[in-house]
Amino acid sequence: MRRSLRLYRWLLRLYPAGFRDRYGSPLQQQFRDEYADVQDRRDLLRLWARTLADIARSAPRQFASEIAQDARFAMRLWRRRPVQPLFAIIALALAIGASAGAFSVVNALLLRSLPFAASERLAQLHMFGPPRNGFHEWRQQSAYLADAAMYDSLEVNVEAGGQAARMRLTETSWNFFTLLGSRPASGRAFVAGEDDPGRGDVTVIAHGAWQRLFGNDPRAVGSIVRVNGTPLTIVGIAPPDFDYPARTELWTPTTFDYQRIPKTGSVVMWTSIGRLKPQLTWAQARHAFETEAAASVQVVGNVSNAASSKFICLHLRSRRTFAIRNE
Amino acid sequence: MPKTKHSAIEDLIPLPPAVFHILLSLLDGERHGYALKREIATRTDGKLTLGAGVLYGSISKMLAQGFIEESDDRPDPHLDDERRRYYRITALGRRVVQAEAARMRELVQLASSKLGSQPA
Repeated sequence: MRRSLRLYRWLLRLYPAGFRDRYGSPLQQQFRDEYADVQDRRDLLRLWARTLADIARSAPRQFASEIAQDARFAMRLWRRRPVQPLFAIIALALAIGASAGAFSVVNALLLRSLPFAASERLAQLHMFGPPRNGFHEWRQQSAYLADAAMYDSLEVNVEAGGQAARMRLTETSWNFFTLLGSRPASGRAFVAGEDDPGRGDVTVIAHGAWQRLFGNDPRAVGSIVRVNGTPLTIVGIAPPDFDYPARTELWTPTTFDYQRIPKTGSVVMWTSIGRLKPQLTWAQARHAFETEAAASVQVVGNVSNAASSKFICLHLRSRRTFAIRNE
Repeated sequence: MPKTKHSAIEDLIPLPPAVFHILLSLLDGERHGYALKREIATRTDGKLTLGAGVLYGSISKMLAQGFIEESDDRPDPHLDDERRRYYRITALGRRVVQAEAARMRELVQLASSKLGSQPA
């Protein structure tokens, strides 16, 4: 009896606190009364089956009833003093909006991964840049980078599919997509040697631009687009969420062939990104980078560049954890 | 005093079976919870067996609606456990149970007239 009653008392927690306070005692009394009628084990099992079914039926009803009662009470209060709840609703709306906004920013910048393979191992080489002539030799010999790519971005005029548009073009080294681990949704990425001066006559188009200019036509691969008048053959369509860097819509492997795409008055800044060698920590890689940047100053004599050279993780989330680890 | 006491009786019916049976039992006098349960089970040949949760859930609602009230009169402590709570029907409860019985009677008459006209 004592064990059963203890268990029943524990099960009464499934009811709302108010109901439990008012009727906990008579409920237990009724359980005792029913238990007194138990003759054998079968009766006991029946009693428990009935009791559990009763709790399963009545506990949700009591919760619903208490919620309805609270709601009615709140509505009566609101009708009596309509200004206070109005302020409460406005405060709640502002707080929810602010929280949702803050979460969206945190989610986009810190939580969601970049659409690159192992993006937490990708670094941007700020200010100090590897040599443009002999870039591929430099990246292959790097002590701290498994691979590196170079790019620059500019706004260009594009003619394609009978339409003209202003788009952001990124000129890259041939291994840009390979380094980021992003495969085109259709067609192919650039291949070795396609960034040699005089060759860069191919392009990868962004998914959105392909939909807009070619109306999802898969035959876009193989067709010609004119970029500032230069004809380029589309060899691939980027994955749907890929627009790196800075909402790029076209990529060409012409970063080492500055004259290939005619440019008008824009200053082109080259950027290098690299992937850390396996087993190398960020601290070790950064140290190696700083050593190399300092050595390049002695040769080039560019003091300002060396002083502001930075080795930044491309992934903001990792950049933050990296910063914390170094504090 | 609960607001529902002043509501029109028609608004309060139909009653859930548990509430109707509890009110019927209380027409005969004050009862405590377990006595109500046993009486209802006996009257319905065990077809309606109220568990403690359903019983006190109904009692709680009926108290709020003003159909019943808790009684301060205690029986002889030798005859009963003084921890029990006793309930009695109110005037409103009487009117409601009478209205519900009338509604059921009309329903049965209607059904009988329809079913009676059909061939067996």
